[in-house]
Amino acid sequence: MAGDHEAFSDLARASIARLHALARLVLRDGAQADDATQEALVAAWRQLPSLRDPDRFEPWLHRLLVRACYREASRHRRRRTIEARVTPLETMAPDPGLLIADQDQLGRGFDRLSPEQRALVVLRIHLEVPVRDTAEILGLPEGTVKSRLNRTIQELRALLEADDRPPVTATRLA
Amino acid sequence: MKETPAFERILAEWLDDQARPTPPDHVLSAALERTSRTPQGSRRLLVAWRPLSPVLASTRSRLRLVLLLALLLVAALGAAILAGAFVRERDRVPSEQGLIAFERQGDIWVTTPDGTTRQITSTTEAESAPVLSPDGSRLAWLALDGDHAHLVVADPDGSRPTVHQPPAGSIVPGEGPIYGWSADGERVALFARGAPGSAGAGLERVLVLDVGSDRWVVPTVDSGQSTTFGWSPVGSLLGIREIRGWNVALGVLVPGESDPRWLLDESSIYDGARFTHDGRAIVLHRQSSGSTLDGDIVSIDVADGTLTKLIGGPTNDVAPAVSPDGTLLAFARSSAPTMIAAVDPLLADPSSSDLYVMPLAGGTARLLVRDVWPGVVWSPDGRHLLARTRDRQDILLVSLQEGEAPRAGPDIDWHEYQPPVWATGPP
Repeated sequence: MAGDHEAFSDLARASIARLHALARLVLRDGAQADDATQEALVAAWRQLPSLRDPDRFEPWLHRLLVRACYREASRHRRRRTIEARVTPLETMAPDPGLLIADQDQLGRGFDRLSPEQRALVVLRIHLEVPVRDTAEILGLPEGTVKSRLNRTIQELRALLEADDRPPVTATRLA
Repeated sequence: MKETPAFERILAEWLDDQARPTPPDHVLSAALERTSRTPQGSRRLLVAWRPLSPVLASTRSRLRLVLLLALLLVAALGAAILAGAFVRERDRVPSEQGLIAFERQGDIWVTTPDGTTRQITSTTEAESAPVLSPDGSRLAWLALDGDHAHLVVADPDGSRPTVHQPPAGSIVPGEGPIYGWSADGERVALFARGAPGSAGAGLERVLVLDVGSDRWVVPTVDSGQSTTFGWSPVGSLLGIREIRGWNVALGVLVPGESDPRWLLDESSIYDGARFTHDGRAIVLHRQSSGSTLDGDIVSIDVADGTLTKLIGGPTNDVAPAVSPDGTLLAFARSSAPTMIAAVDPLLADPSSSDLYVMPLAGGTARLLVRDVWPGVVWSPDGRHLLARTRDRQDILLVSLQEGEAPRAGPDIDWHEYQPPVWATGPP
């Protein structure tokens, strides 16, 4: 038991930076990321004996973390939503990425995505997790991972476009 | 090699920058401290209901028992008085409207629409994707078994569980989804993939379990890759959807058979298909004239594949659902078609979808509520709809009664590909 815990501690030390970064990006809140990372590590320790394929440790750990993030997000769910009208396809600029004025704008757009969308973007674009593993981590069919990532990127671009327009297009809802 | 679009490159750089700060030391130390005093992997599959008698038996004296009962009586009387004073009639939802099963924090729960909630499992491992049989008498869910899952079928209170391992050649991902029960409550369909080393390794497929005989059926499809759009409410047909290159094929699987009967195969069909109340037709969203901004609701006759347009026009209408009695059609209408609707018509535009209902036979569509996420679940009596707010964070209980405003529904999780089942059975 003590030896097991020592080995687990080594694994946790090796994974903590990656896990915490993923949680921070998904939750966009340091304190919530702390909690989700802790919960995922405790769940991993509890469930470690049932992991049959050690080669799948990382996707498995990511899955536990994503679940912990969703739980954390649902505990702190936002009751207030922000309406942002998005631009029809035909009026979009060729590549809004080239037009981004500052990093804060990207941050604001990213914050408006749901935790599920942020998890998908972080896994695929930041961590470059293969589609198959992403599907397993998020509990989605592989085709859905591809289509949803495409849609999320489009939505993020549309949100950035909306951010560029005058504030009259944004309405806060109770 | 595929070139990364400029926007994704910028996004990747921004994410790298955001991920740079190192985690605070206390996160790891607190986690390791907690794990050092946490036992590993004890598998308690089900928590038995705790009967009242042992609690009473442990009371040391009769006097304490009498005092306890008196206190309980006073508390119950007080609660009844307060409830009578403060709970308004319109805030109540009759519990005879059935059960809703859901997963929270890796455990299975069952609730009634009026909020009476029971926890069915309490384990250190993850259970997910609970689905009640149509009559509410059986409950199926996935239990994580290492890195894969198996199916558990039990009574709705968690008693009499049976474990069903997937057939050789298939693996079930840990979080489902389960596609649901057949109308006769004898079969369960769920999502799986071809197991590594098998024919069709990694491809998505549908598994069907005949619960009584513990026999699995894997529907035969040309591409080896398939999903389902659900069971018919009567007749126990299973809808099959197969991706064939650029085309999507829709068909039905008859109980006991493994070869689907195909109804259509074309490139303009999108998802969102559902059987009608009598299982004789399938309603779905379909793009018209190749436009990604103009979607219609159509129906397909299951017997002969005849296609009929139910809602046309310039609006983008998605996510149809026919009421249990077959008289009404609920659907979401995107009032300002956008690029997001173009990318995934099933989900339409989350910033501007409104929920409508209209007679299935045709007529005027009535707006029920604005700003919802497409896709609803009908109550068994057809008087309410469960919908989600546009941000998918909250559930709405939408009444079809004119003038009755939507209100907060039960606090449940709603898996994108596994809507909650609103069973008709007794709680």
